[in-house]
Amino acid sequence: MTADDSIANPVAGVFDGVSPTPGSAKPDPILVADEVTRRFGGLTAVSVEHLEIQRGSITALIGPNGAGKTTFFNLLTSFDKQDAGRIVFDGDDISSIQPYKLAKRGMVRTFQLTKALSRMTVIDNMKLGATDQVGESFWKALLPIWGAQEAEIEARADALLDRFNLTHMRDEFAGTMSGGQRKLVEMARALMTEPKLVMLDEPMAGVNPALTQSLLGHVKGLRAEGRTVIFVEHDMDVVRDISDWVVVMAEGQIIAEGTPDDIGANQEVIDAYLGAHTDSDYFDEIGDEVAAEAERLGGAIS
Amino acid sequence: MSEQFLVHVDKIRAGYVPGVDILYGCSLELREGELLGIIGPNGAGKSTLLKALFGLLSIRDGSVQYRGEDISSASAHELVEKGIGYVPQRDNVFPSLTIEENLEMGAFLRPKQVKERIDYVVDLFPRLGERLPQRAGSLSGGERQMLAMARALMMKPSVILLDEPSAGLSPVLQDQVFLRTREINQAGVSVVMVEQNARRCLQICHRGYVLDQGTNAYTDTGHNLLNDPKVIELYLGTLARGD
Repeated sequence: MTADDSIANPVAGVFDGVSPTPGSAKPDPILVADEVTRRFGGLTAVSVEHLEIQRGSITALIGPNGAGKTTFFNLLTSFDKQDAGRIVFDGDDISSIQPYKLAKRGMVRTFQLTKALSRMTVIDNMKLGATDQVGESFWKALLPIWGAQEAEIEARADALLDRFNLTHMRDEFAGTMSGGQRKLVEMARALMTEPKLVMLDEPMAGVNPALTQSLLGHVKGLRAEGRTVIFVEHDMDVVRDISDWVVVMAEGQIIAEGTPDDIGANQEVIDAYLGAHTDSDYFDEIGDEVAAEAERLGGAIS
Repeated sequence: MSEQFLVHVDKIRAGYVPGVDILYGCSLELREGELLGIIGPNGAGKSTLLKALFGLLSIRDGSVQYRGEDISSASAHELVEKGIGYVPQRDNVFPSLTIEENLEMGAFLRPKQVKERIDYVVDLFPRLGERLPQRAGSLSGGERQMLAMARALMMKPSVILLDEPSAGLSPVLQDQVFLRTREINQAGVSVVMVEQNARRCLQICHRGYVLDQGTNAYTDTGHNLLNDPKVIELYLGTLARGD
């Protein structure tokens, strides 16, 4: 579908033997959630019996608004604490660990509503993302030994900014960026930690379609480097293009799992989420009506 | 000028930081009854254009006219009274107030009309009607977006300005937002919408503007823009072709 089919997919074929049913076992899971429940008062926002995420794959998490996707994301990344259940990341129980420790272990996330540090420049935002900086230790910070690392981090940050088409914003305050640009900086900053698992909450919302395509290539690049990606997304074209596996949530539960093709053909998912108009015939009809109206209203203005 | 426009933005310059312009001579014409779409890359100035139009940013050069009257230096609350409504991109509801209170806030300048207008918007968005006493903070992203649109309609505006109304919504709800926007337009409200879902937006828009780097790159009917190879290549991307 896009020009990026040249990027290698190291997990191609891994899902061949995996059954497309909720809670199915994967050959080599990096993240496992068991009986995870989160309640807000009387409302059960998340109730996931079992979920395994395959190492090295791109997994999409989709579902209607209010399905509990972001809440589940918060639980997986320890930004929220579950009322019951267990989450295992790379063999370790992470059910009650602090988010920053999780980032050090190689799991990093972005947010649906971006959290850029607006009074810092874009490049400083980026450099903050790098882990294990010498200057983090009080005594080492006093010694002039961090220059080389600083230069290395800055070079890495510049390379990422370049990949995300943000070089021209390098020295601007992050607060002056548009909504879409903040999204990009946040994703780039997350990559500064060189994570094993990247969790993206609606990475493409608010990003211009033309740029979306280069971002998709970049996400595939992460997979080619051996990283695991989980993302929440509403744009089904994006989901179909890059995911190896799709997990569907509705009303806090996982109602379906499978390859993008399995999911596209699943009647339950179509009813709950995709809707009947996805073939867009209906909008094509509207488009014709609108074109006629536009002429009546006076047509184009040059 | 041969034609009288409902809103006429003429070569405006505006920005947030002194000395730094985001918009460089940006223009826009809105006819009575039209549904306009504004698309373009991130950072092109789409949201800034809406804010400048709505008096949230001071205009440094150029002018904005509404029904032939200069409104370049009018403030947002004056524009609301004149009949212009605005729905921001985010943080667009009061989470600690109930849905009903949020709607009342939308028409506090005309308290006598509150009941009648609530009936009208609830008819348009039945989901809100079922949940009037609930706090807006308990609504999901899509429901909040509908509440924000409903609140803007409480003043019975002639024009509403929508900043990315479909962002963050599931495909079904996105389609709903576009269909509702068209219904609102068909009921006689002129609309200017900024959108990233360029394909859907241009399908329902009479005319569209493509902004790039703070200035107008293209304008044409929605239908023509949707089929213009240059626009597809540069701004829509091949994903927007819908294959």
